[in-house]
Amino acid sequence: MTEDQLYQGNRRYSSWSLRGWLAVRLAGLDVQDTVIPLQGGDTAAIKAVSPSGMVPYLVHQGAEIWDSLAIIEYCAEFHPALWPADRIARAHARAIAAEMHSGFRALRLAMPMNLMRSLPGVGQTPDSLADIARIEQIWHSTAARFGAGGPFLFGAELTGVDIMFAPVCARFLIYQPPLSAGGLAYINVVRQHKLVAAWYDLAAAEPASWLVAKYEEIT
Amino acid sequence: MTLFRTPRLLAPRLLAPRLLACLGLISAVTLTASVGHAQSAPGVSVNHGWALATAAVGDPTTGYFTLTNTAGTPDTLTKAACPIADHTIMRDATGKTIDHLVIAPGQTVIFGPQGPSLALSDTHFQLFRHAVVPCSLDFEQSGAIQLMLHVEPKDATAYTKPMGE
Repeated sequence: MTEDQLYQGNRRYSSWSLRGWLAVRLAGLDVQDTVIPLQGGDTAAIKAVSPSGMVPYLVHQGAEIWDSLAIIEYCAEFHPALWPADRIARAHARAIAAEMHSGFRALRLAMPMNLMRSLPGVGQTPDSLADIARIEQIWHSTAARFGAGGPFLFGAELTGVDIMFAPVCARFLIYQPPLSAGGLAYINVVRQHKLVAAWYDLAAAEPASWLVAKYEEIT
Repeated sequence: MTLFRTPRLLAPRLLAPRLLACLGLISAVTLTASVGHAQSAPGVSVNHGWALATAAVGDPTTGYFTLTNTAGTPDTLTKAACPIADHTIMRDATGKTIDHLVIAPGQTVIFGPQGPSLALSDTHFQLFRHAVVPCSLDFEQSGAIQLMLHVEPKDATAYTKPMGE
């Protein structure tokens, strides 16, 4: 058994784990998936293994990476196509990936990820909707400048940027805020990607004992 | 009407490669009825929200919509706020700033190029055509009502009804 591991939280809830897992799988790293069920707050089992006390946490060939954007960067060393080849496009990709990484707090708080729920209309606050408007503007301007026919933000293939936005797409499918036609099309194409679809399948297969009340009680 | 009822409902027509080709090139069809629509509160309903596209971050824009008071008593619009802009000002048909607007029972007020409007300044990002701009309107009687402005071309003079609305 390989000692290389990608530690993750519940597929159902852990948006950051989704990003790390997509990057690792897209890069084809040979690591074992280890899911640690979240407890809705401090999860002792995660603190026991992860230097930051959070997931995802990747251990691979001596490297230890405990941040999803850092995991994407690490995976790009094995699979450079995670970032656009062109310098200008790559700079733009990193800028919007970083904005996603550090921003949109209102959206995160108002619309937590729960892949097995459908909560149309929930979580629409002025601030979360403003975050959504900004995200749509990022998608639109990026696709217009670098999309080259799509369907992903930088062309035909899923990149690190799409990975960073994948949990946002999931949130939009769950909460169904008002979106432009382009935004709707994009979230659907991300949802259809084989790796994203596989993650949803894994989430659906999680045992009921892993459900966390505070995430399930949102109405 | 809601297009997506569950995460698994992936409208096949949305998945056609050509349609998905580029976010910036997808047609003007708006697939959620809520775009350009706002939630209704008892007494006042807000509909047909639209705004003009902008060319750059910080550019001002103008927002329009229709208010209808179906209650038997007057209501007063006291504030409008669009968090994607630093400032949202209500103006009358002459362009003068107003701090309230009374809507009589049964009255419909059209915010439009020939009437009152919202002036958004210091926008936080470019507003592209088909974007959805969230705003909130505060009424004395009806409370806060959400308003969505559907972004039209910057030279538009009227609201384009999205499909399905």
